[in-house]
Amino acid sequence: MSTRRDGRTAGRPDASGGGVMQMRRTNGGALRVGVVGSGGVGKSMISASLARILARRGRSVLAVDLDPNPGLAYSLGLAPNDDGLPAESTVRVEKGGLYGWAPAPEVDLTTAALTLSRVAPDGVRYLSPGKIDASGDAKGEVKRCLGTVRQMVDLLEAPWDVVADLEAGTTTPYEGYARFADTMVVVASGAWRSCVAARRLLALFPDMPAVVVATKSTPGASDASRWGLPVRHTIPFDPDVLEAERHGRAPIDVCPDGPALSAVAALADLLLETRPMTVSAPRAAAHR
Amino acid sequence: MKIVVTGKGGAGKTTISGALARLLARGGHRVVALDCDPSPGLGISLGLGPEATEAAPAVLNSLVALGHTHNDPDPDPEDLLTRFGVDGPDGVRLLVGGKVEQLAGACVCCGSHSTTRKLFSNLPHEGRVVLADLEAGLNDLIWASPKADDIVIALAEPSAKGFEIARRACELAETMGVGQRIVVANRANGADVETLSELTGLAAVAVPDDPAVAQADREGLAPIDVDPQSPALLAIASLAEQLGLVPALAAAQPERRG
Repeated sequence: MSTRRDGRTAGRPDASGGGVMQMRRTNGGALRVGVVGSGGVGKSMISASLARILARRGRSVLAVDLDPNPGLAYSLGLAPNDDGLPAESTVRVEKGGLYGWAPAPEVDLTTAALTLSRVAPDGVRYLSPGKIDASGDAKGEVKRCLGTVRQMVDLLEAPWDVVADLEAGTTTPYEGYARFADTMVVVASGAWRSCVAARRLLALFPDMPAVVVATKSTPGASDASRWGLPVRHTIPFDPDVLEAERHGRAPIDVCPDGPALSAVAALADLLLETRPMTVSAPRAAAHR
Repeated sequence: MKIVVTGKGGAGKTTISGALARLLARGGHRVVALDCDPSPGLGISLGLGPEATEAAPAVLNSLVALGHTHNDPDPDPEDLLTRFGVDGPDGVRLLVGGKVEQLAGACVCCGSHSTTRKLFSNLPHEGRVVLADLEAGLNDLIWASPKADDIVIALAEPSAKGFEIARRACELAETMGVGQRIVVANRANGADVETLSELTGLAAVAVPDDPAVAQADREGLAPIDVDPQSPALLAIASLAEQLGLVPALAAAQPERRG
């Protein structure tokens, strides 16, 4: 426990990611969204496009990359690199024989979103844990930065819209990487396996408000809703998005008025309309 | 022979693993298909159907339920294959490593990674093909830690990030000393194959975009059960030949295992 500069009591996480003390607070009307789903369903495209659309509406947006594999930067239209966080911004925390990483005590969490991020197009701030390279993260750099980024996002209090793109699958959601969020965007394409994964993700977070988004749908095919998913929003297939991704360009720079991007804009409306105005629900407990 | 299939999420790892396993089994090989994704789905692409896939026991979860802990001596992998493996079409034996089910209890995710790693490392491969379908991304490749004699297949769908992840996977496999590294451009056109070959320094194998495969993925079927002669299946068969294995489509008299 520590006392913040604003006098309120806040918690810093322990090594395992568990035991973060919870607090009740207003969120200033900011979005806190975690985008999850199986691989290739369009998580990064949605995260990046959502971030830029929100920024174009004048909002302060932090796009958080929670995937140690290259991806989100491409969809944001930002030159990808492997940079994570500076060593001095992180601290190793040990507890019960386990260890993890957290923001260093010197890091001012009210400005960290600015000081530790890169500027992406439309003024979106991009926070990255670095990327696994050919060494296989032999030096543990990504582990250090990823551990810190997830804790940092959990603790940020500045009125940023936070849109986080999680790694494909159920593992990191299970590990609590989306704990910061008050809304989960669960993405499924028409593929059966992606719908199964989406169902599993929904089951992991029964108490978290979730918006199920069906992507790559084609006219006439009910796709994801067929497999019993409570689909709330649909993003149609758009060949221009495929071309943008093929060439590593941001879809919003290639086909801003196409059917897919228009649907992401409508998703932004939906998320803004339904956002919780306080963060009061106890977040899901860590798994260990 | 041991093969790991890796790549970005959505690159087609599971679909191609399922097709490859079935083709090899029809070609007369004994095939063990290892589902390393903690959100298992390989059974669907093997043609077991959604219900049987969902019902397939996961090794780690089963052991935990039986009271085993991480500290127990490693169980005999052959015994695990007998107890928890599920027979699929063409005699492919499916073994699921671990399954993330709920936010409580044991650390299923780390456990799942180490379980699949042990299974992949310790399963005897004499006289059989062990085909491991990894979780999306580079992390699971680190966990699987393939060795010099193993084969790494890195898949990419046509996207800049998919290409980049496949490139890193190939380099990582090289760092690990893996002798045979194969890069596959899935759903790709000619330019994609060129791009990927140039990036990785390896001659990329092309698997074309194929409506039969897309249909299989949509309906929860194995591609080989939708159209065994479709362009993608033919390309996957030639991939098997490149591995030095005889696939069904090239075998004069397909020998089926009971």
